[in-house]
This record gives sequence, C-alpha cells and structure tokens, in this order.
Amino acid sequence: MSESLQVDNLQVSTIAREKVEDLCRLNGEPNWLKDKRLSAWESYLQCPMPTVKDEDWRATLVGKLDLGKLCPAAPLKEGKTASTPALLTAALKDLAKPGAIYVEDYASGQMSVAVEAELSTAKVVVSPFAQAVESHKAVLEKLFAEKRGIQDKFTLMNEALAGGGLFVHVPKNTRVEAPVVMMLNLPEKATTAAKDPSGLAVFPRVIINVEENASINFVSIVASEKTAEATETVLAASVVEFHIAAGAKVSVAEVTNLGPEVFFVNRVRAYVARDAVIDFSTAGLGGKQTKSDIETILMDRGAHAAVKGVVFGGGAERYAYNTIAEHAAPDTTSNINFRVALKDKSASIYQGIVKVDKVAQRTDAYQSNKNLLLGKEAKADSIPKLEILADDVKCSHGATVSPVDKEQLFYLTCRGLTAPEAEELIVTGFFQQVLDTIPIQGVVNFLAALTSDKLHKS
Amino acid sequence: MSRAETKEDQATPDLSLNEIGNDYKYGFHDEEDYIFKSGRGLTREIVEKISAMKKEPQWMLDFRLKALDIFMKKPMPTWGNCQMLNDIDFQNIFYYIKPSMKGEKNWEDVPDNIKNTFDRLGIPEAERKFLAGVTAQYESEVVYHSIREDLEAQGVIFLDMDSGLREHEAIVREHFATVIPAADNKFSALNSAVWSGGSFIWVPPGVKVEIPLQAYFRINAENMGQFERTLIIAEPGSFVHYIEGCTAPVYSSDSLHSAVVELIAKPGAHIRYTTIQNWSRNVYNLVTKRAVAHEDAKVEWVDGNLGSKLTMKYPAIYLMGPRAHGEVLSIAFAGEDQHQDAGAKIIHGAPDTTSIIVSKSISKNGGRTSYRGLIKVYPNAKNVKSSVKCDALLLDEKSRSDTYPTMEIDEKEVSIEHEATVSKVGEEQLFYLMSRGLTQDEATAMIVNGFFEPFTKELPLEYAVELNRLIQLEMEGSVG
Repeated sequence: MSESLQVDNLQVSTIAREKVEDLCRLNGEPNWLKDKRLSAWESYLQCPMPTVKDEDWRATLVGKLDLGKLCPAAPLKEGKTASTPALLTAALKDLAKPGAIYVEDYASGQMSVAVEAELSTAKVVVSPFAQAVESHKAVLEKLFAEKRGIQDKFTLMNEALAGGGLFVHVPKNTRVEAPVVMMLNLPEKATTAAKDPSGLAVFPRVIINVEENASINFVSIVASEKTAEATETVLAASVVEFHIAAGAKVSVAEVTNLGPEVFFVNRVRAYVARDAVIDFSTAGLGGKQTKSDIETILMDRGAHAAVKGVVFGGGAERYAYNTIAEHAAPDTTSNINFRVALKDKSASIYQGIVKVDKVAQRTDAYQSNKNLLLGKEAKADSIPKLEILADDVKCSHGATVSPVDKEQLFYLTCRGLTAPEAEELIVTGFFQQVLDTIPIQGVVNFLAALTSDKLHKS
Repeated sequence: MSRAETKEDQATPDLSLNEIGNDYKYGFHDEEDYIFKSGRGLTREIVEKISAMKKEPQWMLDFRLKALDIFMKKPMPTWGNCQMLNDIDFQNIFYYIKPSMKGEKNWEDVPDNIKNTFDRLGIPEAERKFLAGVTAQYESEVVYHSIREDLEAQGVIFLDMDSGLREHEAIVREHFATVIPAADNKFSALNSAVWSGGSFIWVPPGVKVEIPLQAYFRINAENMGQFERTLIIAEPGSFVHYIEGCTAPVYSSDSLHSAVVELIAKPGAHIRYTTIQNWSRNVYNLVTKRAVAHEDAKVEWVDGNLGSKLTMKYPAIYLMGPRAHGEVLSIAFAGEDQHQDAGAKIIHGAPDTTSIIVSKSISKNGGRTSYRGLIKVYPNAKNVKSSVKCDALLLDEKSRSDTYPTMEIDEKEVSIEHEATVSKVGEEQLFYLMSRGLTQDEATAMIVNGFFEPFTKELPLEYAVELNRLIQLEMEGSVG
C-alpha cells in the first residue's frame, strides 16, 4: 500500500527525462505543458542546491535535506476520502459557509472538489489543474508565458514535478464572498521507530486568476496527519500564484500546521495590476523547517499589497519567512506586518525587502517585524531591507526583539492573574493585533483557537 | 573661494564643459620626491623589503608573511558592490613609499612642499590652537609628529605605529592583531602584510586625555596604496578621543586605501574615535575597524563618509564585559559615481551591555548609499538593550539608497529595536523655508545640515564648521 503513494524508483535528486514525460502522460497533459516541465527540469538539474551560505537560506536547515532520499508522490485519484482531515473540520466550524472546498489528501492518495451552486452560476471555476488545462487552455497558456519572479531549485523542482494542483478563475466584475477553501493533507508516520530509507515529496501548485474588478477570498490549509502508513512526508515544495487584474481584490489566509519532520518550502507570487489589491495573511504554526517566500509585485499605479504574518514556534521548529515587496510602478503602496513568538528551542529568521524601482515614484511602503521570545533557548533573527531607486518615496521599517514585557506582566499579576495566565494574555494580544486585520470572516477565530492550543501545548 | 582659485590656476583657459564642477576642492598635488618607492604589485620580496627597511623584529615579519598567504588565498567578497571591487587591480599598486624625511617634531622643520599641502587645507593653525598632538601622515610614514608636553607628563604614548613598534615592542606585541586577526577578511589580510604608518596610542590607567588627539592622512602618489594600522589601548579607567580626518589629491587612476584600526577599551575605559573621510573620488576605501569594550567600558565610533569612489566600512564593537556600552554615529554622503557602503556591527557578548546606532545618509546626483549592519546577541547576554536608527534622504530620482540591517538574537532577556526611513526632502519643509525668503538651494542645504545635525554636534567645533562647509560645497547647484 505504501508504495502506491510514491512514483516507483523516482528520486528527486536525479530525475531522468522519461520520468518527467511519464508524469505528463499520467496527468494527460498537453505538449505545451510538457515542454514547460522539461525546460524547468533542465534548469533544475543545473541549479545548485542552496546552502546556508546563501543569504536567502541563512539560519535554515537546508543542509539537512537529502534530495537523494526523496520520492515524488504519485498523482492523486479523484474520490471522496474516508474521513475529513481534522484541521479542515475545525476550520469549517469557524469559517463562513465556503463557496468551494478542494482537498488534496496525500495520506489516502485521494483528491476531491466540491463547488457550491452560487459559484458555478457566477461562472467561477474551481477545478483540478489537469481539468483546467483542457477547459482554460488559452488562459493558462497566457499565464505561463507571462511568468516572472524569483526562480530557485525548489520552484524549478515544483515546475518540473508538480502533481495535481488547483486552478481558480474568477470572471470580470464577479465578487465572491464565500471563501474557496483548499486543504492539503500530508501523511506523517505514527511511529518514528522504523527508519524508512525514503520519504515522500509533494509538489502542490495553485494558480488563481482574478479578472478585472472581481474579488475572491481564499483559505489554504497545509497540515499533516499521523497515519498507519510507513510512508512519511519529508518535503512539500509548493508554488502559489495570484494573477490579479485591474481593480480586482484577493484576500488570502494561509495556515501551515505541519508535523515535526516536514520540510515546507513555499513560494507565493502575487502579480498585482492597476488599482488591484492583495491582502495576504499567513500563519506558521508547525513544521520542521518552514521556508516561505512571499513576493508581491505591484505592476501598475494604485496597486496595493498587505502582507501579514503570525508565526508561533515551539519545540525545535524553525521558520524562515521572506517577504519581497516589489514596487514596479508609481503610486503603489505596501504594508507588511510580521509577528513572531517563539517558545522552547524554536527559531525564526524573518527577512523582508522593499524594492522600489526607478519609475516607482510616490511609493509608500511600511514594514514591521516584532519578535517575542518566550523560550530560554529561542532565537529570532530579523533582516528588514530596503532598496530604493526612486526619490519621491516614503519607506520605513521597524523591527523589535524582546521577551514578554515585565511591566505588563506585573500589571496583570497585580490584578490577580497567575504569571502563566498573564503571559498567555500578552501573547494572545500580541497576535490579536495582526489577526484582527484579516478580512476573511471566521479566520480570526480559527487562528486564535490554533494559537491558543499551541500556547497550552508544552 | 578656493574653487574659483583652482580654476584660475589652470594653464589652459578653455576648460571643457564636463570638467566644470568636477574640480575637487583639495585636488592639487605636489611633485613626487621619494627616497624609496616599492615596485608596483605585491610579492613576498616586497613584504620582506618593507619589514627590513623598517628594521622590524622577526615576529612582525612572520606575521606579515603569513598574512600575505592568507590574502592570496582569500576570495574577493561576493557582497557589497562586487562590480567596483572586481575593478581593483592589485598588481598595479605601489605598496610602500618612504617619504624623503624622517619624523619631525617642529612644524618649522617640515619641508615646504608638504607644508604647502597642509596649508592649503587650512589645517595646521587650527590644530595648533585647538588640538593637542598632530600626527600628519604623508604617504606611508609619519612626517610630522608633536606631542604636547602635558601629554608626555601624563604618560600617554602617542606615536606613529612604526615608532610604536620600535619603542614599545612589548605593548604592541601583546595587543597587535588581537582584535582584528589577519584572516578576518581579504583586506585586513592585505593590510597585515603591507601595513605602514598609522597611530599607536597607549593611555595609562585612570588618565583622561582632555584634548582630542588627531592625525591627518593623505594619499599623494598615483596608484599609491595606504595601509595604515592604528592601535589604541585605553587602560582601565582612562579616556581618549582620537580624530582621523582625510583629504586627498585627485588622480586619474584608482587608489586603494585599506586601513586596520583596533581599539581596546579595558575595564571602565572610554574611547571615542572620530573620522571624517573625504578621499578624492577615485579612492577605494576598504577599511576594517573594530573595538573591544571590556567591563564597564565605553566605545564610540563617530564616522563621517563624504569622499571616495567606494567606501566599505562597518565599524564594529565587541561588548565583552558586563555593562559595556557601544555607540556608532555615522553619516554618509554619496554624489555622482560614489557608493558609500557603510554601517555598524555590535556584538553583545556579555550581560547588561547596551548599544546605540544612528546612521544618516544622503544620496545625490546618482550616488548610492547603503547601510549594512549587524546586531548580534549571544546566549546568556541577558538584559541587553540595543537601538538602531537609520534615516536616508534621496535628493533626486537618479540616486539610490539601501538598508540591510541584520539582527541575530540568541538570548531571550533582551530589548532590541530597529527603525529605518527613506524619504526625499519634505516639500512642506521646503515650502516653509522658501516662504521665509530662502532660495530652494539654500533651503535644501539648510534641511540637509539639519538632517546631519545629530552627527555634527558631536564633533569638535572646527570640524563641525569644516563639515558644514564641505556639505555646502557638495550641495552647490544641486537643486533647481
């Protein structure tokens, strides 16, 4: 059974051309997509594996990742999974009624998609990538041709080996309130005793295309679940893209809650056109090493990007978030707010860069990173960067690292709270200031519950 | 009006258009008159020759040769302005020049051509009036050196580094290269191999040196590298303020300046090191400056960067004893074709240590300023407090400003703050000043002076005046 989750004898480090071609055949992909995969595969083989000496990967565990021991997951079969992943059930309790639910469950090898009538009648498409390749060939081909942004070993790996994937398309002037929910469930080994020589690698892909003056809410949950299988997920390398046309608005809430053995590499790219808005929130709540790059490319006047982060580390977890706010046009604005709290031995490195191109006059950019150290051995690095090539700009950033404020603690304990209760209240408040700005209904409660759980977990 | 004079001095009256405005205020140079000038390029023989001419002890020669090996092996840095760095041709540089006279004690005895250089800079009178000792470095060796009697009475040693090594070998050997080892980086290795000149200061326990000690550095010969080596040791409870200022004549090809400056502040000592760097626009200024502050000690770097083609300089303070305090206050001004890549590093290696970094930069006329900094807190360095503030002004659309701060915090009980802003000169401020009758140029110059004020107010008066004048010169005709 465990073998069925993997593509036989296909290692991630050295992939033969035929294997990539096999993958195309299995997915029934057209030639133009096969060419894309093959050209990514070629670049992938040439691209060196990053090391901690690369500025982008400093203070990460990238050196511990052995691609030679990884096998890509086999394509998922469409069908209802036996049980709904626990975190999805929890999310659905808090969220407003979703417009669509898309599940990729690598634990059971199944995927499913359910779209409400409200969305279908509005001609909103929520479909597995393989189907979209046929139904939205022209759109996808155009999006693939336009590609820009940072490429690295893992994005190329994803482009060459992406399994299924989700495609969302929102037509002009269509405003959808009910969120599209995506659940990615990865298998985790129940016992770590039996050492498996190889682990599972998954390559999720999401493309969301929002036409002029349309809007959509998107919730993405990435979690792992203990299974009886001997197979264990070691690497998830995902690429998530948002193409946001003039006047459109996309709100995103992304939740990562992975087990202590999973290495998660994530690249988010948002292309934001004239007067369009991306409101992106991410929560890092678990994983061996989370490495997430969030690129927002403001391509035309009036474009705006809000990027918010809540990272709560425990145990020996590691986080590396990197925000890249590129102002490629005049009169664009960005606001980045990242809050990190670290328990135990957990470690975080936040890197953020605001790039202002020569033409991007009247840019207004703000970047804030606050770190709260709770564990004696916790580590927080912060590198907020600015590269400014225009002159008529307002760019600033602020970063702080500190433990729980003693005066606040004192004040609360004076009012009768125990020290742990007081600390809990302060941590909750620290996150709440970011959570309150997430515009998707119900996400606040969902995340508040998750952070609270983690706070109590020792 | 020295700018006008310099123009009149030109033999040919018909200046080409693109030369106008390029005349560097201090861009005159004397005819070369040297006793010894090493050949171009860097070899083991040259290093041995430098050491032999200086009659150095064997350990220093060994140190130099080891450093040369390290320099040859180390790759060029792959960060910063790589393009400019890779333009340096190490084989086309003179590594040692010995000037035509020995160190002098009296100003009157200094040869005229060197005096002229200093006179045109307006230095010596001011110094005599205001300042204690003068170590004027002309080329690679100190030519003028005077220590006021009361300094000698206090037991303060203020020598050029070569004399320091000769006369106080024990002290030098104990401290030399303990703060910046040769292998620290490619340019510290280069300096360690070919160093010459610089200052050596030793302040006895409990002695407070009331008047700032200062030295002027000049580069004179074409393709001449200056590799001065400064070592300042402040014994427990002492205080010293050292001032380093630079101006250099303009030459057509590039000059390399790669100093190593080591400061050691022993328990309770206080060192302040002030630099005003105004090398001409063809100089590479790749400097390693680092201080160690022991228990209760205090170190301040006050660092101004106006000149040079490329400056890469990140004054560092290692806070190694409890309650040590470090401050870096810096300004950078980058004009056409200049890149000021400056910053600060503070390493908190002990509890209750505190630090402050304030960095101000202005880019103009296509210039680029970068702030690159590091705050590192080691485990168990409890109750560390650190605050970093970077402000940048951009004066036109051609210029560029970068901020690359790094914070690595491995201890929980700390308070670390970082803030940075980048903006242009405020329209409201300009409007206000212009409505009071100032021209746009005057108003902008006034705002720029105000922007740098936290820096200038830390300088001795005559330096503050000189700096304001320099900024005004830089600002002339920049707007409108």
